Amino acid sequence: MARTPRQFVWDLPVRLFHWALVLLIGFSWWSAENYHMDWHRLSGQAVLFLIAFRLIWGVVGSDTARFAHFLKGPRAIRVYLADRNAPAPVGHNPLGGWSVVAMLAVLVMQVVSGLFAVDTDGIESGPLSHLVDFDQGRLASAIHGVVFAGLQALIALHVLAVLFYLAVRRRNLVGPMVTGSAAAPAPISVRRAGPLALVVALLLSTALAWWLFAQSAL
Amino acid sequence: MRTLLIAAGLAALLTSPLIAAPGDIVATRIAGFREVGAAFKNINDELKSGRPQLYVVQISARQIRDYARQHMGWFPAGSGPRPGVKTAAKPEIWTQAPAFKKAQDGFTTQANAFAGVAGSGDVAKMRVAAKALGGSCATCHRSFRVEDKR
Ligand code: HEC
Ligand code: HEM
Repeated sequence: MARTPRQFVWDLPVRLFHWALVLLIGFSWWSAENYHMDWHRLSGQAVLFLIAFRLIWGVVGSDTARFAHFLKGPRAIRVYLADRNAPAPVGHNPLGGWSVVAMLAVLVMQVVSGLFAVDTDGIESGPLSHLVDFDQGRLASAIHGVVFAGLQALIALHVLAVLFYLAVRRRNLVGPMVTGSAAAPAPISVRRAGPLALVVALLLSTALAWWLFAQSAL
Repeated sequence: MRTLLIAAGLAALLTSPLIAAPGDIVATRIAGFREVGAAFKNINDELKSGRPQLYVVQISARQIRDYARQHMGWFPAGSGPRPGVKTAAKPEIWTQAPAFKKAQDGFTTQANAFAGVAGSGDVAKMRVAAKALGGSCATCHRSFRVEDKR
């Protein structure tokens, strides 16, 4: 029996980003609920690193990771929604691309509000909280809470969408997010990022995450 | 009839401060805790930096110690949650009075201890004492304040 051809979908950095993010969001939640604020802070630093990396990777990464590749205008979205039998694009579909942007935007708000948050007990405040006054820091803390509710809603929607594709459209999206590829009769070629792009993205995001959390960096 | 009305009016006037009092004390303690929080933020901001301004730490420590002398009066019976009053104070403050008193005493002890250490000028000791002081806030908040976390 011949091996079915595989379509490359997600590169390893995107997959690692995704599943690390899932674990870290869960861990951040758990650590905050259980007052492990030192772990919560570390987890936030790791999330900041991931987000920074993904934003850079959205410019220099493989085609399916690039914003320019998967962000489409309203017409493309309408066409995609109107025709159920339209060929499925490799990577994010025209609507899914924007859900990625929405999730990343809310995650940025989550992390940035955390940087400035001042907690009631005063012992575990964000690494940049010394740049704002007490009231502003308490406001950042309130925003951190409200934004998390929004993030939870987006994640629920996200998982429901994935399940919808699995149950209704009979398409497994999770497989490619794990293995990186999907079975396809006629794979098309996708330009993949090289090691230089990876090194640059890693260096920049590591530097940012280190610097923002370093003691009195600013 | 007329005198009765006047008497009722007078009585209402005289008792209104008593009726308003719980709302006022709630506002007083929330404002007080915010001052404590702001003072404690100043302390932690300084201790976090490489070159802490000791006078900021010392002034703030004294402020907190002064509040630690007032806070015993911030929770009179009847100043708990009820319709129309916005407060994060839990009813357990009054139903578990001994435990609450212990938390209050813990704060007083730590506030006094910190003020002492702040006067000594030893930054390493201040950092340890600030953690202990923050711990006394957290201990009380976890049991007696409605959480908004973070
Ligand atoms: C004995 C208990 C107790 C201790 C000790 C205590 N608090 Fe509180 N704190 C409370 C309660 C109860 C509230 C809620 C008050 C209300 O909403 O009526 C509160 C509220 C606050 C608030 C929120 C005010 C607002 O904006 O609503 C801040 C900030 C705060 N405390 C800071 C501190 C700090 C900092 C310390 C330690 C240095 C501390 N507290 C110690 C019980 C305590
Ligand atoms: C903390 C929870 C989660 C967050 C924050 C999250 C976030 C994201 C983000 C940002 C992307 C875009 C990936 C990229 O282009 O880099 C994505 C894609 C994806 N996620 Fe999640 N995710 C979460 C949970 C899950 C779970 C539980 C599943 C499995 C059911 C899942 C399955 C997928 C799949 C299959 C894709 C690719 C979608 C596509 O084919 O277009 N995610 N997710």
